Amino acid sequence: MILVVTFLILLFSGIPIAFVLAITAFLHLFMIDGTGLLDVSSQRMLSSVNNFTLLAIPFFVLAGELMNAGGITDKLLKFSKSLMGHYKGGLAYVNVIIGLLLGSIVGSANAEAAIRSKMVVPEMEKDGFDRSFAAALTATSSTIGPIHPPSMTFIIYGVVASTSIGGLFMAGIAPAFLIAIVHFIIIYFYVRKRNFAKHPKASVKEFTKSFLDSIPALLIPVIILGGIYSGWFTPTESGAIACVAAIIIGMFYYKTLKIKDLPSIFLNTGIVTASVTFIIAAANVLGWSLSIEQIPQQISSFLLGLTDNVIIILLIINLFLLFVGMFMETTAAILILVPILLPVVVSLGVDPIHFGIIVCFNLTLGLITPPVGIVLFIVSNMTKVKLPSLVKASMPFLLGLIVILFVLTYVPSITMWLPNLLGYE
Amino acid sequence: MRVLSEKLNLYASYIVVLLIAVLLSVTTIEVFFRNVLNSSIHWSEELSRFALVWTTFIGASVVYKKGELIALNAFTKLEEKKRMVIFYITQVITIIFTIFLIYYSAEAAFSPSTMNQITPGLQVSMAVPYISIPIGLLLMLIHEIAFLLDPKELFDKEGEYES
Repeated sequence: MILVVTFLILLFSGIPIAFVLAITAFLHLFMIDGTGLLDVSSQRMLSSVNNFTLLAIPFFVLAGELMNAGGITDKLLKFSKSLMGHYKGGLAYVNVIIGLLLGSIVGSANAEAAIRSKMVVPEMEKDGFDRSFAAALTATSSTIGPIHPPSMTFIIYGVVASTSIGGLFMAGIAPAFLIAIVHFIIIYFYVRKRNFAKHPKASVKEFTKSFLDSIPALLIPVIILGGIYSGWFTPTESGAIACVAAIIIGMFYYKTLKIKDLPSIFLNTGIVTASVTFIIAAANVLGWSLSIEQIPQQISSFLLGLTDNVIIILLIINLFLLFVGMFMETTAAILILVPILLPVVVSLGVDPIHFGIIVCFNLTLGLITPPVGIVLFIVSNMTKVKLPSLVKASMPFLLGLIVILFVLTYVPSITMWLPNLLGYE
Repeated sequence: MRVLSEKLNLYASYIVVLLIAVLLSVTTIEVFFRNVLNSSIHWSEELSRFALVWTTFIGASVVYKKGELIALNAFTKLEEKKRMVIFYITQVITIIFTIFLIYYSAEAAFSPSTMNQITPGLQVSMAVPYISIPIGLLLMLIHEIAFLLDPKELFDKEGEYES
C-alpha cells in the first residue's frame, strides 16, 4: 500500500517515469529483503535491454527518420492528393491516407503526429478547414502508426509476451485499415455540411507520376513484411535492411539525403530509442520485484475469482487499460501489466497475438486521451491549437476508435485471419 | 557545473551517433554474410546487443539533458514559487536515488563474478556491457546537479507542453 501511494505521488511530481519505476522497485526490494536484492537490480536492467529483438526499435525509428529526411513525406502527400484530393474536403481524406502510408514506414504515433501536423494541417487550413478539426484528425489518426506494422509497441509486447513479432505485425494490418475507415466515415459526415476549396481531379499522367515517385518509399514496407514472412530476415534485421534501402533511395534516387545529414539523424534515433529502452530497463526491475512477492499471481487469481467469463474479463481489462492509458506511458504499462494479464486471458483461451492487438490498441488510445496524451501534446504544440479545443474536436474520432477497440476485442477473426492464413500460431 | 555538463553531453552525443552507426552496419553485414555468403559472423549479434545497451544508458543521459525523458507533472498550474519548491524536492530525490543506483550498478559491474565472466561471442568481460549503466547514470547525475544549481533551463522546457 505504501508502495502504491509512493508510486502515485512520484508519478505526478514531474520526476521522469523511468525514475519513478526504478525508485518504486528499489523501495519494494528494500522492503522485501533490506539491501540484499539491490545488487541484482542492475542485472535486471541490463538483461531487459540486452535483447536482440529490441534492436528492431532503433532500426524502425531510423528508417522513418531517413525517409523523412529524404523528402519522402512530400512524395506521399502528392500521391495521396492525386488519389483523393478532388473529393469534397479531400485534404481530410488525404491526411488519413498519408497516415496509413506513413504508418507502414514509421513505428510510432509520435512520429506520425509530428510529421503530419507540420505538413498537412496548414494545407487543410488553407482549404477552409477549421484548424482544431484538422489538428484533431491528425492526432487521432496518428494511432495508425503503432498499429500498422512496423510497430514499436508490438515489438515491446512481443518481447514481454514471448509472442511472434511477425504474427503481431500481420495481425495489425486489418485494424490499421479499420482506423482509417472509421476516420473516412466521420470525415464524410463532417464535410457534407460545409464548404471547402475545390481541387481539379488529377490527370492520369499526374497520378502515374506521383505514384512512380512514391514507389521507392512504398518498397520499405514490402521489404519489412516480405523479409519477415519469407524467413529471410528476423524482424530486427528487416529493420536494418529497410534503413539501408532508405539511405540508398534518399541519396541516389531522390538525391535529397546528404552524408552530412546522417550524424544528426543517428543522434535523433539514439535519443528516441533510449527514451523507450530506458523505461524498459527501469520497468523490468519493478516487474521483477513484484514477481518476487508473486503479486502477478495474486492479481490473476483475484481476477479469475471474480468470473471466468472471457467476455466479462476482457471488458474489465479493457476498461482498466483505458484508465491506465490516460496516465501511464505505453511502454511502462505493457512491461508491468502484460505479464500479469496475459496468463489470465490465455487460461481462458484467448490467443496471445489477439490479446496483443487488444492491449496495444487500447494503450495507444491513451496517447490521445487527456490528461496525459503525448500525441495531443505534440499536435497542440505544433499546430498551436489549445489543448481543450483539440480534445473537444477529437471526441467523435475517439468514440469511433473505442468502438473499433471493442469490435476487435470480441471479433478475433478480424485480427487473426491474416496471421492464421500465413501460418503464424 | 553547467559547462562540464554541456561538454560531457556533447561527447555523449558523439558516442550515441557512433553506436547507432555500429548497430546498423553490424546487423547489415551479418544479413549479407548469412544470406549471400552462407556464413554467419558469430560475434555480430552480441556486438549489436551490447551497442543497444550502451545506447540505452548513454542515450538516456542525453535525453535527460534535453529535458525530454517522459514525465508527468500535475503541478504545472501552480504559481512559480510553489512549483520551485516542488522542483527542488523532486530533484533532490532524483539525485539521491541516482547516487544509490550508481553505487549498486558499479558494484555489480566490478564484482569478480561479472569481471571474470567471458562472453561467448566477443570474448570480452561481461563488465563491458555492465559498465554502461554506472557511466550513463554518472553523466545523468552531473546533469541533474547542473539543473539543481541552475534550474532555469529545465524549468523552461517543462512548461513547453502546457495548454
